[in-house]
Amino acid sequence: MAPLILNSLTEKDLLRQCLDGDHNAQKQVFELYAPKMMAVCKRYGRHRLEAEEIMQDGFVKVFTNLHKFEYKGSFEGWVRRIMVNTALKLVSKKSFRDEQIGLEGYQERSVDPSVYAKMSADDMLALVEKLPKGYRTVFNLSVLDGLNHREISEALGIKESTSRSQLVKARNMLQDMIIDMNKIAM
Amino acid sequence: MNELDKIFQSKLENHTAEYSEQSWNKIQSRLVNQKSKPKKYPWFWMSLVAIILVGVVYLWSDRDDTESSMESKNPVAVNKDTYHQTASEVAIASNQVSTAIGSKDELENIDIDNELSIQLDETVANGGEVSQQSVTRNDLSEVKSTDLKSEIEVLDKTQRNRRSETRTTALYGENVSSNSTSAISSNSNLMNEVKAANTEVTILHSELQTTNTNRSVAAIMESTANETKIRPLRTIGVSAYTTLQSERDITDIELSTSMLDDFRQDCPSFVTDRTGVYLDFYISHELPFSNLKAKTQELEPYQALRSGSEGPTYSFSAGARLTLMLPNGLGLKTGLNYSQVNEKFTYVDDDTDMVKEVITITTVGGMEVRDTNVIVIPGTRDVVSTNKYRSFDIPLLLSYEWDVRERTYMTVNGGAYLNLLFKESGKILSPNGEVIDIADSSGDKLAIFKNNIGLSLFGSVGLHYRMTGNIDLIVEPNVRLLVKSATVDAYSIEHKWFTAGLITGLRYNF
Repeated sequence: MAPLILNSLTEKDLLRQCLDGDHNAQKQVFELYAPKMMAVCKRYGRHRLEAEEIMQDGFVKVFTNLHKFEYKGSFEGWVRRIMVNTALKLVSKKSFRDEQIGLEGYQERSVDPSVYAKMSADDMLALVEKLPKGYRTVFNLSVLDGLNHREISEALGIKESTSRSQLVKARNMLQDMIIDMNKIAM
Repeated sequence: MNELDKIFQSKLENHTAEYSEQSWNKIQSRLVNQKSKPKKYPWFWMSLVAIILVGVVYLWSDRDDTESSMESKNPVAVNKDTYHQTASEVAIASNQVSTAIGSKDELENIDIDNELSIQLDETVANGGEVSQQSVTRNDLSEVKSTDLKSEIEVLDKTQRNRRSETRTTALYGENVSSNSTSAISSNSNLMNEVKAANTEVTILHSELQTTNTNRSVAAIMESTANETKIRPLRTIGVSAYTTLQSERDITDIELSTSMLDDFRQDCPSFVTDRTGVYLDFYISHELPFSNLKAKTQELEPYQALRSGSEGPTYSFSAGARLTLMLPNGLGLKTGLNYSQVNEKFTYVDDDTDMVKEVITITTVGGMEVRDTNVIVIPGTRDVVSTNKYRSFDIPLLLSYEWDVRERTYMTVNGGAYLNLLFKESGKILSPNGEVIDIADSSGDKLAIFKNNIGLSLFGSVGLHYRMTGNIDLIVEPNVRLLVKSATVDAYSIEHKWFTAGLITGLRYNF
């Protein structure tokens, strides 16, 4: 498998060839980033086919907008953001409509750290995928894709307070699921 | 960061997943099939440029034609109305004098050194009584000389010496010789006194040759038993005269005083000094060009999403503006302008569920039982709407006006529009691809647009045509640029627009 991180010179050369319309270079870039991006898309898509569709749409955007990439940040970060935005297109805002703002009644729960250690990445991803759409989207954006609440509010067209409350609820639900899973395992 | 967040982030940060082997083939085929978008509305720019070019060429060619006509045939702008003569002409007014013929350059403020040479017949200049026999007639081929009862030629010897090519200004008067006397001065005063049966009219042409200022100023002094008036002499052009002649099917000298009176009302004055106040009413037909710009590089896909779903459509502005003209051609304009920038929003949502809730009510043993079923129908939704961006503005413009030909003058305008109020309506896509109402900021939704969009820059070139003495027709290609984004700072996309349009309107001269 090709290395996931290219040195800057190679990456620039490769991207320049992509800009020239070199399909082999484009394929190289795709193969380089597709595994990671597929994991990102799976977190947002409802199922595998939808995740594939998001990834394909995302890569088409990456190659058609490549001339706008200014090398100010990492190319992987830029590609990831395009994937996330493409995925958000499929997220219904209705998930947030009936949300009651306010965190009364929600308390942080504690989970034994040893429980986390036993969990694999796939286990965790499976739990994230079980979250309701609204919770899952905010959790993905905030925790896994590194957006702050202001950015999330802009991306989803919701208030920052709504984003915060969704995140807290997502965490609680994940912790509940982990606790339940642990009980069953015991 | 929360402990749970850290654990999830560390385990999933570099997580990978398998993808279909067909993915690349599908991406590649889409990249190959993707064509560059054609430029939007090239016809609009082409037609705008064409209109301007045609206008300029028309005005230029018309000017050339009249100049060459004047030089080759040694004619003659014909002026029907003594009250509409300029300094380059000399006029006679009486109830029997019908027309005056002058050079083409009967524009006001003619530079004598460069343009005008007034010919004055020596005999007449000596103050001799004008008669048909004493009149010298120049080569005025466009006028039927057989119809002329008399003509007076004014020749300025000094000017004739200055220029080898002289232009002729001639006066034609009907029955002048029998009932009138003429006194003509070649230096500073030209006075034709025409005595008619019931009217005594004195025409004073002062400073016909002004050595100090190189400019000619003409006036007509009309004396009656009760009062004496001095009116500035003004002009009409060849085309106006020709039109009049063809419409009435008459020869030059057959125009009677009554006709002159009629014509006098219709004849537009051609006044250099437009000092005063004017009121313009206009409507501008426009096409907007939006500029959407993502605030960060990561938001560019969203910007592309919006750009792809929104496009320009017919827009307009309308308003009234007051113009204060200064003597040097400069003017200030202000008023109230309403603009409506329209954009068409088109979006096809391929993955939409129609949700139907079916409530079945049955009565079992006298009890009402409700059964609720939810039916979800997957489908496609087409969304089309016109986004309207309305604004009320106060224009603050500086303008400059200059004459092009009789009845026609041009303006150049530039300045700013200050926004008073801004309102938006319509639909756009949100960053997650959902169709949202741009004016809805209720609940947890963000306001997208400002209430006041600030400053716009405006520029235009106007062509004015004087239809009557008080009413001008305005045709004015214009452009307007919104300086700052109309969206609020919290919104991820900057939205500015540029409009190109064509004003059509009327100007009222107070």
